[in-house]
Amino acid sequence: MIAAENISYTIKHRPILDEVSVSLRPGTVTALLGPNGAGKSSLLKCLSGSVQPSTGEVHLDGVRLQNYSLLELSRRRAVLSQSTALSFPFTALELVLMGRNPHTDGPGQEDAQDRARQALESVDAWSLRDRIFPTLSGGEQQRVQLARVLAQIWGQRQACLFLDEPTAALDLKHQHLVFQLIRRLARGNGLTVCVILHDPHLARRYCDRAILMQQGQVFTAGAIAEVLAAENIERVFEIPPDWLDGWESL
Amino acid sequence: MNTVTRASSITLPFLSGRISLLLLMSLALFVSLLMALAIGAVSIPLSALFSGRLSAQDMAVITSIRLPRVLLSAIVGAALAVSGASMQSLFRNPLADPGVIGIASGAALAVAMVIVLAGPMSGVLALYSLSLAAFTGGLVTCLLIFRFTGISGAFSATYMLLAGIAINTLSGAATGFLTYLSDDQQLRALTFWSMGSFGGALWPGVLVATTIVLPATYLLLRNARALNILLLGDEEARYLGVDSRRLQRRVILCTALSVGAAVAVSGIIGFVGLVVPHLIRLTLGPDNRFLLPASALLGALLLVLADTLARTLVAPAELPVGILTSLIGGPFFLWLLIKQYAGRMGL
Repeated sequence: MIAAENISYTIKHRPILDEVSVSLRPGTVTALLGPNGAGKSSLLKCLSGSVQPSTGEVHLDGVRLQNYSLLELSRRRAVLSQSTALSFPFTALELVLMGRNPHTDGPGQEDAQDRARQALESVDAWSLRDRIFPTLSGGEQQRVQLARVLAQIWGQRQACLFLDEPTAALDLKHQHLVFQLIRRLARGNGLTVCVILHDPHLARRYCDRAILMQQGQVFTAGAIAEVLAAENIERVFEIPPDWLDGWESL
Repeated sequence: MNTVTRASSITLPFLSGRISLLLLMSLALFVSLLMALAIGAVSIPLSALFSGRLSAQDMAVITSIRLPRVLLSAIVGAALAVSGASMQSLFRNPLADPGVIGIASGAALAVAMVIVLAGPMSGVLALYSLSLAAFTGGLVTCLLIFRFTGISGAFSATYMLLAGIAINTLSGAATGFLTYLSDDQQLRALTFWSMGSFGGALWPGVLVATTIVLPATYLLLRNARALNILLLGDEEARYLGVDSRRLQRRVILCTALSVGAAVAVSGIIGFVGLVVPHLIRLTLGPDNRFLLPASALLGALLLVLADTLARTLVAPAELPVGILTSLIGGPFFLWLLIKQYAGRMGL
């Protein structure tokens, strides 16, 4: 369970997040939606402990996020950032194995190879294992990075997974494969998943809950069907109703 | 499209393959050390070296001239190569090198200041103070470039190289000014020292370099795994449990110490920190757990060979080894770049 209470985040006096309160539940996939610049990535960073909110607090299982050490946190939550550049010629498998770094001295160090393999297989990228990462296509790179992030918490229960646009570079088939996988992991292993995405169809099909953001604030949050009602989308994204023709009946 | 692959080198059989390769390189280094002891203006046969039946004169040549010199070139080679490899991870850029980005010249400027302003010195303490000056100069430069390239958030190769050019030019001008101020004796010391040479190598130099370079190198090697993770980015490294700030500070400190010690005892010797890690990365991959120790061994080997060449090519005179490494390293690096470019374009 991750809960944020009244968190605000400002960069150089510019408010990015304004009094945001949200909670993420184990076993569910929560979609984080909103226009560009609404503060989705910043909220994700606050919830994952990458940045500390200017005011307010984030709790993970009732304990303040700052009270966890980097290592403790890395053993129970994984984060896929929007863009990650790597110009050194690591192979895809070597990269995914880096995801096991937090467990080097702990339980699960022996089967790092197995977990890396399973993570790569789960995103349909095992065949890329010996390819040099910087030479892969954008979509292939994204799948391998996702496998690295999944390997970090592979086989664990009650872990947290934060994904910032995990399917932005993927083709249609892999978009669906990835979201099916994410939902399966949430259901099966009790993962708490929070994912930023732009496609309302994907969100409605695979996510349980949604947080709709607008200008640094939560516009509405709750069950996915209610949050993604046509009038909410029209208002938050400022689009005319006829652009959403048939959305409700889809 | 031809795909680029390499056997993922984490599985155990290959790991032992890597270890045997490290052993092989150690052996090559050992052989080159022996050869370097035997070869020179006075040739001393290896058989005499092994049997221990040396004339008093040969003995003196070995113990007070060649042995310190050979050891020093090995230590400096290892220090420069490991510093280069670590810096490339720090800046996430395979072009980072103590020479290219101005850290060596910053260190050199500090040493030149001490030579000219404090006057000639000798002995172990003097060498330590030169090392301290070089360390300070290197550290300041490294921090400056690190801050400069980190300003935009993402490290940019362009900013790093431009900052390096600016710092190289600045310290070159300042060193030039110091040269202008110096008297004949200082001028001679400055000129030869700045070309990079092991000509004046004595036991105090070996002592100073060893006591600084070994601990620094050990610390860098211990952080090899974390350096791999750092290549993913500051934020990603923290997500994976690596305190990237602390690691960066540690790497800057250790490389500045190593480069400082190397510059203080031997001047600027270019391209070792660039070419050696590059070679290893091209053939065996970028994993720092292997790259760093392999760079240390190959850097040492390369500089022992280069120094042997430098003192035998025009014997009884000798070439500054820094000129030799630049002469070999420069074209070699260009060749690497062209080859890499051609490979990427599928030519």
